[in-house]
Amino acid sequence: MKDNPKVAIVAGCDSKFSKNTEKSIFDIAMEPCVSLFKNKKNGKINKDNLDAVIFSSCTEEQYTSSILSEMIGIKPKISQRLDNLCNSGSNAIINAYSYIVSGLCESVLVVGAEKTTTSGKRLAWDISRGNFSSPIYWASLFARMHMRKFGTTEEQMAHVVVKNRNNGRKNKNALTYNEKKVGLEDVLSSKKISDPIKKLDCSQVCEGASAILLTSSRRIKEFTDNPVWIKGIGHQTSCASFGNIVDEILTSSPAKQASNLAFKMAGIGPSNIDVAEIHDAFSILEIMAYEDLGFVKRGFGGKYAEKNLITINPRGGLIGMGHPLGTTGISQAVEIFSQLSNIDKKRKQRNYQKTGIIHNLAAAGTSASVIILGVD
Amino acid sequence: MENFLDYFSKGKFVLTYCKLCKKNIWPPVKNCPNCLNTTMRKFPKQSIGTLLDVSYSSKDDTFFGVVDVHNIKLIGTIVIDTEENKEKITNLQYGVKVKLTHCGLINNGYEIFFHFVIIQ
Ligand SMILES: [Zn+2]
Repeated sequence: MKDNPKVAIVAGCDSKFSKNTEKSIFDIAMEPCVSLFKNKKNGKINKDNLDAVIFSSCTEEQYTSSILSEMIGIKPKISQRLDNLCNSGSNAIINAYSYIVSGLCESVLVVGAEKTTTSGKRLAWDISRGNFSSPIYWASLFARMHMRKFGTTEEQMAHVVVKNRNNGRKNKNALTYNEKKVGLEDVLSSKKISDPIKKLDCSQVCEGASAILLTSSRRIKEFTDNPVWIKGIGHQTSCASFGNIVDEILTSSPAKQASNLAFKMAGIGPSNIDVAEIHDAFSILEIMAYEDLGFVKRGFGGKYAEKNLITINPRGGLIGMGHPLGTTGISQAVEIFSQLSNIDKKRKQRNYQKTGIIHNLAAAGTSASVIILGVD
Repeated sequence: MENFLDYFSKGKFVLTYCKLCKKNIWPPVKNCPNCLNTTMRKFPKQSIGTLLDVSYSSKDDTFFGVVDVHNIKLIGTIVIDTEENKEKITNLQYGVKVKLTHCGLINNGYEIFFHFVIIQ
């Protein structure tokens, strides 16, 4: 293993996330790719150096990665599509990492794209949800369980929303860009949908695309002087149905297991994390993530939400940025890349950030991915 | 799983059972995920379970909850017929027993539904 190369993200880009347009999935996917290869800030990045494309989406379209390769004008050695609902993007990054470490590829473009109408919005397999199939129902049951067991409050959940919405409104690519400032009272008085979840506690499925470029340490000088290295990876799938996760979700969830694996691989602990991108499809999920990632002990996530100790969800999270399913994990990586590298200092929330973490979930947390990134 | 939906369409609750592992399997599938042997269909005469947690959907104007029944977990409507039962779930303590009264397909066969009532 000691001869294996390290893997770095060398560039990343988001499209402007939006509610719904007439654009095709491929036109949406092209937007961050064009920006990536044409942005002068990315200096040495050149599409001719690529030997793999991985496309992440829950679209019904077929042969997507090959179509995208044709549109970008490249002939990759490996061209694949990956879907795993909401954590498709993180899984695509894990695939890219594996291709590079194995030596099959040196440089991989990972692109996520989704339309608001994506077929990933419904998991027909999971009949344990009965006719309460929308994610808000399992999320409100998780919230009730967390409140009952640990005393977590709606106000603590609102703290998550205030932070993420106010980060989103400052991010020009976010769905909530330029919207009015949100306070605790706005969240608490927003329309209750499914107790205790209110309108502002929810992210919105939307349209958007993101792209990142990964390369091996052997080739890094050809691409950048500002690499952000992948230091740790963890993924765990427990099951696919809500009914089969209920017992473990507040104890040893897939996210907890994925987090342990990623920290072990990186050789660091939660206290080393300076910046985090957390899957907050609903505000309660961010509170549960604080615990799964080991920022606090089980049950203390609500209290942690009231503090502002490290940079969390600087792009706005899913609540502020929007949630195009297959894109989200890649957009999270774009943000951590921006927060750690020195390419765009204006985006950095704190100057001393060296290590970041990406936390992503799918289908009621039945599977989870955690990726740790760092700069030397 | 499709042929199992036929039973639900007739309002019959069905699950699968592995004789070898002596375990109920959910969702109903042909092979046991533990030993991969063929499962058998099971039609419980009565389905009484424990309400694990409950919420109220303003959107649907209904209480719904997750129920542990036959050692599987289902989300269903919790039918509230008395003030006493409403009080029970507002301050839910572990151990509230519910009974499956109806199941079937709704939304043009698009989704299964489960209805539970509180019995204790
Ligand atoms: Zn078996």
